[in-house]
Order: sequence, then structure tokens, then C-alpha cells
Amino acid sequence: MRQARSMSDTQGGAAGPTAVGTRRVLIVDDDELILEVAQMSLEAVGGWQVTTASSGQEGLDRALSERPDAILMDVMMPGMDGPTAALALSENPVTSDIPIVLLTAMASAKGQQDLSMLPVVGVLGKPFDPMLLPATLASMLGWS
Amino acid sequence: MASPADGSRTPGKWVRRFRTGDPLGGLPLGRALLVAAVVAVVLPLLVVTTALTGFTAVEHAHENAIRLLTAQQYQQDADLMYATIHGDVLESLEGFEGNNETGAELTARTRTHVAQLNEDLQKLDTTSLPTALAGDASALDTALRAYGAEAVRLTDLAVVAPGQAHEQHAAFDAAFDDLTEAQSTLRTGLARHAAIANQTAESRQAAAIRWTTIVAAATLGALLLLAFALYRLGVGNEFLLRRVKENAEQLALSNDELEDAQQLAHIGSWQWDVATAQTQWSAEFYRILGLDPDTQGNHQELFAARVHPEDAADVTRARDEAATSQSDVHSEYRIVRPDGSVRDVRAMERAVRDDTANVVRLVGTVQDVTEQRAVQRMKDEFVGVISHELRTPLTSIRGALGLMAGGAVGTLPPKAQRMADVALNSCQRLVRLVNDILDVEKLSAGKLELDLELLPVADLIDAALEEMRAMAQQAGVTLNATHTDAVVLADRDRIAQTLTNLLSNAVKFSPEGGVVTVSAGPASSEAAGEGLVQFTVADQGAGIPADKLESIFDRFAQVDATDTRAKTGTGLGLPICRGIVEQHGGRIWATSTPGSGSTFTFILRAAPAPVGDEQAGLGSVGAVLICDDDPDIVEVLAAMLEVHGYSTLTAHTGQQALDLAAEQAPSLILMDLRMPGMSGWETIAALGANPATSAIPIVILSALAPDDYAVPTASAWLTKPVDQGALMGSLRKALGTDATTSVLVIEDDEQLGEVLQGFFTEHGVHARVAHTGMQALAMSRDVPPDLLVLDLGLPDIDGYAVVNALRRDERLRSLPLVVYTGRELDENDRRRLRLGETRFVTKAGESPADFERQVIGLLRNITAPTH
Repeated sequence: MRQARSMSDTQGGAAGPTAVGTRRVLIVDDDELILEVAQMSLEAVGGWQVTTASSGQEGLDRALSERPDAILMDVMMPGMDGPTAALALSENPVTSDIPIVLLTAMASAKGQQDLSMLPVVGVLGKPFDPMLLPATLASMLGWS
Repeated sequence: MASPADGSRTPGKWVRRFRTGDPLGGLPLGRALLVAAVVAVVLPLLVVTTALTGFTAVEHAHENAIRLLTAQQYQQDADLMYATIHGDVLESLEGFEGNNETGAELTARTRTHVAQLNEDLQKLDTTSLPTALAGDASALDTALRAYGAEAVRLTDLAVVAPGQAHEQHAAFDAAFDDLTEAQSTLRTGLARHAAIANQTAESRQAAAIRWTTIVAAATLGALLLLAFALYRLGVGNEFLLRRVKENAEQLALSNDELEDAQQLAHIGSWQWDVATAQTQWSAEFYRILGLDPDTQGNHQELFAARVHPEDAADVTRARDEAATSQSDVHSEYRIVRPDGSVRDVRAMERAVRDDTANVVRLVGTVQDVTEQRAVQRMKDEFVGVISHELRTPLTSIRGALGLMAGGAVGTLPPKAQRMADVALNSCQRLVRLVNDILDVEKLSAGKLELDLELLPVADLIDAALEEMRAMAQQAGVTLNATHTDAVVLADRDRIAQTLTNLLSNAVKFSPEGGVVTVSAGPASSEAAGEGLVQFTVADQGAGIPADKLESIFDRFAQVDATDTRAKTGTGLGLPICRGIVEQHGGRIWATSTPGSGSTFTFILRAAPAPVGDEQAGLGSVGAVLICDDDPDIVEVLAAMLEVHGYSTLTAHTGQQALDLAAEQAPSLILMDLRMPGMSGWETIAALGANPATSAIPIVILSALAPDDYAVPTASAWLTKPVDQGALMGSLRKALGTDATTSVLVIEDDEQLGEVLQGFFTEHGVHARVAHTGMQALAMSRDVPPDLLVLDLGLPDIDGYAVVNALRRDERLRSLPLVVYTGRELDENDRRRLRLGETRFVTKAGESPADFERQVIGLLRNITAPTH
């Protein structure tokens, strides 16, 4: 927990804010319904611009081509899973500065803590409150 | 099987039963036999002696009587001869003339008779007579001899001078009369004595016969009694034997049952007798080892050959511990069967002691848990999958409902809004239920891992209050708190969960306007000095009936099924609280006064005296001097450090830093390198040259990376932009106030991991435990520990692979490492396992104290400031 907390404390340094224009967030999840709900949450509540990808590989491709301001990524996905995709993104110079938040159905704080060891700025549990999701993400990402 | 205690009780019972039927009135067997032997030998001896004595006396009496009768006979003969002689003398005097015999012939006949008389007297003399008669006999003897001599003289004279002989005859006759009297006295005496002797002999004989009979009869009686006793003894023995036999049969039967039970449960048992050094195994024990129960051979060797080589040390350790411990010792290890298959076993062993606490034998069980483990793994997997599968649809339901109810997709008509709220509430409850079920599952399987750290109680309470504030406000309930400065060793999230659970219950059951009070303090009276912290959450609700105070901690329990508020909970909150608190080694309970409220109390162990405690440590250290030419950076760093409790000094040039360092003696200097004027390198050199400042640790914070430049003397080199955690870590390390000196224990055995973690915690060292190689890598990469403790046998990648991977990481390749293994390592192994300063500690070879010395020593070396 200490690690996770210090991660989220470092908010400011990591994300190079593109203050102008609408925030663009890429959501990666293999569950279409969750994609839809999360997209609506970020668009309707957060007022952000959202693109979606339904697999780890598609997420990588979109991140490279679209260079979003942040990526919200599911952990358990068939094929390339979230952690693998996050590692790949952090190792690619084109995407290494894009902050990633993982979204996991893993229940335990312990499991979430293990995930926070990855090159990500935060870990969110499922299910999430769609009304609070944008605010939570903004806080993790250091967006005001 | 009867426990050893039962085994020692049963014979006692037999003996008691035997004693109650004992004909010898409780005489111990040995003594009874001794008595029997004495009786059997002494009594016949007595009989023989009595008889011998009796009959000897009888014989004497008879001899006596016979002697007297003989004497009487001799005396009668003498009497007869004496009368004959008297006739001879008369004849010689009167019939001498008319007689045909000549005088000479008569004289000769008289002489012959006198000689015969003398002979008779001689015989009488040789017969020893009773003293009473001896005098009479002797006098008579002399007189008779004289009389005989006189008779001879008279007869001789009658031949020569008959007249003279006639004259002298009157005197002779008188002597004859006198002698007749004495003779009759002796005769009577002799007759009387003979009669007496005869009577004595007869009575002695009768007595001898009587006594002999009596003694013989007594002997016979005693022998009969003895025979009876022996017979009864035999009966008793038979009874005893029958009992033994019955018990043996019973034992055999229960042994069979035990065998069956052992086979079903896959539990084998063994025992080792100290006195005989004999080992016994149950059949199932053989089977667990993959051996035929009839296998012959040395048990130790058979067993040693089957233990997994990596676990041999653990097995030895457990056995040694069992021999000295008062309690059961549990261990787990692996068995390699002859066919190569590996079985997981759980073992228990215990020393059985006698009254004087000496170990009599070691007993133990071994349970094959391979299948159980497999099932458990499947179950864990299943729970994990179910959890994921439930959450996925719940996420979209909860999300969609949340958006609808929250108005994100447009304003809903009031009834639709109400329905959306209902659906959302139920959905949230379902989510909580899923979470709680997983928690309960983990708690009941003992799978809940605690991430223990030193936590100020006040922080825990504040966090819980913060979390509950909205709910309390909505319910119109006031939250009160009293604080304490105690620190507990606990899992932050789990204790927060416990507190919020209790608070949420309290709020839920409080009347509007009620007050819920949460407080913490040293645990009262009981176990004072133990260092316990007591948390209480008190409400002013309806209270709980006394008979429900315990059952509310059961799963899905409700005080009152009609209480609708209770239904908004999952019914698992309190059981989870109890599980969490007990997992911490604490206790939780409820008290209540129906009508005026309930109080939930739980107790946790207080953290040991906060020697290395972060805050106390920081309070005692001096300021940190920040030196950077960029004023913004100085400001940001100062703010960051102050938030973490450090006081700061700031300098914008090297010279300022030198002056401040000399004046204020800060505890640490945070130094930029590239500065106009005097550079960081120069400043560091100057600080080192001044004795007043040379001991101050320096942490470099620069945009430059260390590889490209000469490294000046410094505790650490951090590059900008700096991670706050890394900065704080370096500061603590350099200051030696490192309460969070962190050790990463890589150990797949959860129990051992916990033990090691507890061991480090005791030394004020924060230890994390990784159970797999991958986890270990992730954890070390994220926050490099100060020390690694590595077990080689891991479930995924082994210790060698972990070391290999760590070597590839620049930050990790020189980490100090303690390889803690049961394996014997050769030089090649050791080379492959070397990281930074590396030590090898064998699990069996070193005692806990050795391990402690080695590891803590190493840790102290590492964390001491480098200069």
C-alpha cells in the first residue's frame, strides 16, 4: 500500500499535461459492456474524449497511433493481458510517457498492490462507480 | 489407538480388579509365594521333629522300664538262690546224718548256689537302678554276699563240726530273716519303679502320638490352605490372563479400525521409544512412503531415503524441536516415493514424558495432503475465477445503473429515478456480498495474508471516521473519537475494514441523533504490561440480547430477522471482523445493555517500543540541508521534506551550503551537482575536507546520471525528476533512521515466510514476503529492498533464475543477499547465486540465534552510513 500511495503522490511529475483541448483517454477492456459503461462515464461525467480497444494488442496499436493522454486498461484479457501491454507501452519510447491506470476485478488489496509494482500510475478495482470514475482518474493522473 | 496416557491407565485397572478378588487379602503376589514356601518347608520339618522327639522320649521310657523289669528279674533270681542256699544250709545241718549225700557233696552244692547267687547279684549290680533304689540294692547286695559266704562257712563247718554249726545256725537264721525284710523292700521298690517306668513310657508314647498327630494335622491343614491359596492365585492369574487376552483382542480390533481410519484419512503414525531405540510405523505410514508395510530394514534409513532432499533439514529440525518442546510440533515436507512421485505431507510430532518430565518416546503422525492440496488449489482457482466472472457483469450493471441513477444519461422521471436507485443499492450490496464471501473464504482457509506494518492507532481511527462520515451524516448520527498515541503492528487495510465494519453497524443501528463513539487505549487490567491496544466502538442503539452476543459473530446471523436495517448488510461483516482480528492474534467481542446500546471491543498487540519508529526517529534528527541553484526546486524539495516531518535548511550556492553546514551541523545534505560558481563536486570535496562537516551524509540529487561522471563520496545518487518514495528511502537510509529498512523474504512456505517476517519485525525491520519468483522480481524492481532473503525452491522459477534476473537489473545486481536453503551448495552453486554481499545460511545447520546474528549483522553493515 505504501508503494501504491507514493505512486499516486508522484502524479505531477509523470504526466505531461496537454492542458489545451479535451483530454483523450484510451480504454482497453475485452468486455464490450464495461467498455461502453466506462466510455459513457468518462464522456458524460468527465467530459473527456474516449477511444476504446477490446484487446491488449489493439490497445497497443491505438496507443501508438493515437497517443492518448492516458490509458485505462483492464488486467485480465485473453491474448495479451493488461500488465504485459503496460510493460510494452512503457518500454516503447513513443508511448512510455503515457500514464496508465489498470482496472482489475481482482478482489484483494494484496493483488492490487502487486499490480501497482508495474509501470502504472494507479490501480482501480472493479466494479467502479461511474459517477466518481473521472474524478478518481483525474486525481491519479494529476489532472486538475 | 489408545493414547499413551490411556495405555498406562488400563493395567492399573486390571491390578485393582485382581486385588479385589485376591484370597490373600491383598497380599502382594511375591509375599504370598514366600509365605507359601515357608509353610511348605517348615511345617513338615516341624512334624518330623515333633515325631522324632516324641518317640525318642518313648524309647527312653521303654528302656528304663525294661531295665527295671530286668533288675526285678535278677533280684527274683537272687531271692530264689538265697532261699535255696538257706535250704542248703538247713539240709547240711539236719539231714546230714540220714542223707545219702556226703558232706563234701553238700558243701560243693552250696558253693555252687552261692556262686550263682553272686552271679545274679553281679547282674543286678550292672543294671543301673534309679538312685532311690540304688542304696537299698547296694546294701542288700553286700549283705547277700556276706550271707552267701556265711552259708558256705556253715556248711563247711557242718561237715567238720556239726555241733558248732548248730550253735551258729540260730544267728544265721536271724540274718536270714533280716535279709528277707530288706529283700522284700527292694522287691517292692523295684516293682513300683518298674510300674512307674512302664506307665511313663506308655504315657509318653501316647503323648508322642497325640502331638505328632496334631502337628501332622496342622501341616496338612496348612498345606491344604496353601494349595487353596495357590489355586485361587491361579484363578486370579487366569482372570488376569483373560483380561489381557480380551484387551489384546480389543486392541487388535481397534488397531484394525485405526489402520482403516488411517488408510482412509491418509494418516500414518509412528513412535520411537527412547529406552529401546525401537521405531514403530503404522501400515499407512509405510504406504505414504510408498513402501510395502512388510518392508524390513532400519526405519531411520528407510525414512531418510524417502524425504525430499530439500526438506531433509526441515524434518530434522522439527524432530529436534519436538524432543525439546512441551507442545506438538507441526511441519510440512515432501516425500519422494520409490516410483519417483512426490507427495505433500503434513506432520505432527510430540514427546511423551514420564512423571519426571523425561522424554519416554516420540510419537507422530504424517498425513498425506497431496490430494487435499490439489483440491485446495482448484478451489482457490475456482474462487478466483468466480470472483472475476461475477465482477465482470457486475461492473457493467453497476456502471450502467450508476450512470442512470446519477443522471449522467439524462434526467429520469421520478419513479424511474427511484427504481434506478433501488437497483443501484441492491447492486452495491451484491458487490459487497461478493467481496465479503471472498474474504470469508480466505479467512476460513487461512489464506488471508496480512501486510503488517507499524501503524499509529490515531491514523487508523481517523481514516475510518473519514470513510464513515458521509454515511453517518445521512443517518443523522454523530461520530465521536478519542485518540491514543499507541502504535500497533497490523495490516492497515484489514484493520480499517474492521473499524469501518463496526462503525457502519453502529451507525446503522443508531437512532437518529444518536452518538457513536470510537476510542482506543491501552487494554485494561488483564494482561497488563503485555502491551495491548484496545479499540471500542459504542453505539446508543437498541442493544443486543445477552444470548446473542456471541452468535452475532456467526455467518449470516441476525439479531432480529424483522429488523430491516440488518438486511442491508451481508451478514458477514462481524465474522470477517473476528477473522481479521484473530488473524492478528487479537480478540473481539461485544457487550450490550439492551435499550441503551452496544459496545464492540477488539484488542491488538501494541507495537514494540518504537525504537526505530519513523516519526520518533525523525523527531530526533537535525535538519536536512538542501542545496540547489534553482530556487523552485529548493522550495518544492523543502515542502516535500517538511510534509514528511523533516526540518530543512536551504542553500542556493556551494559556499552557502558550506557555511550553513559548519554552523548548523545538519543531519544530511541534499546536493545538486551542476551549479554556477562552486559546483556540487567541489562543495562535496570541501565538506569532506572540513572535520566539522566531513561526517555529514550527503545525498546527490542531480539531473545527471552517475555512470557518466566521477562519483564523489556520497550515500546515494538520485536523478531528477526524483520519485518521492525513492528520495525518502534514500534519506532514511543515509540518516540511519531507517525504520523501514526493508527486507524482501522470498519463501514459498507461507508459515516460514511469516516466521521470518515476524523475526525481522522484532528487529524493527520492515519485511515483505514474496511467495513466488515472479512476485519477488516484481517487488524488488518496484522498491529495491535493502536485503534479500532467498529460498531456492520456489513454485514458479527457482532461486537461481531469480538471482539471474536480478543481475540484469542495474539497481538490483549488487543487493546484499542471504541464501537461506536446506540444500547443500557446492562452489558452482554458490557462484551462480552470488549477488551483492552474499551469505549462505543452511536451514538445518544454523540455529535461529545463528541466523539472527548473521542476517541482522549483515543488515546493520549494509544500512550503516557509508562513511
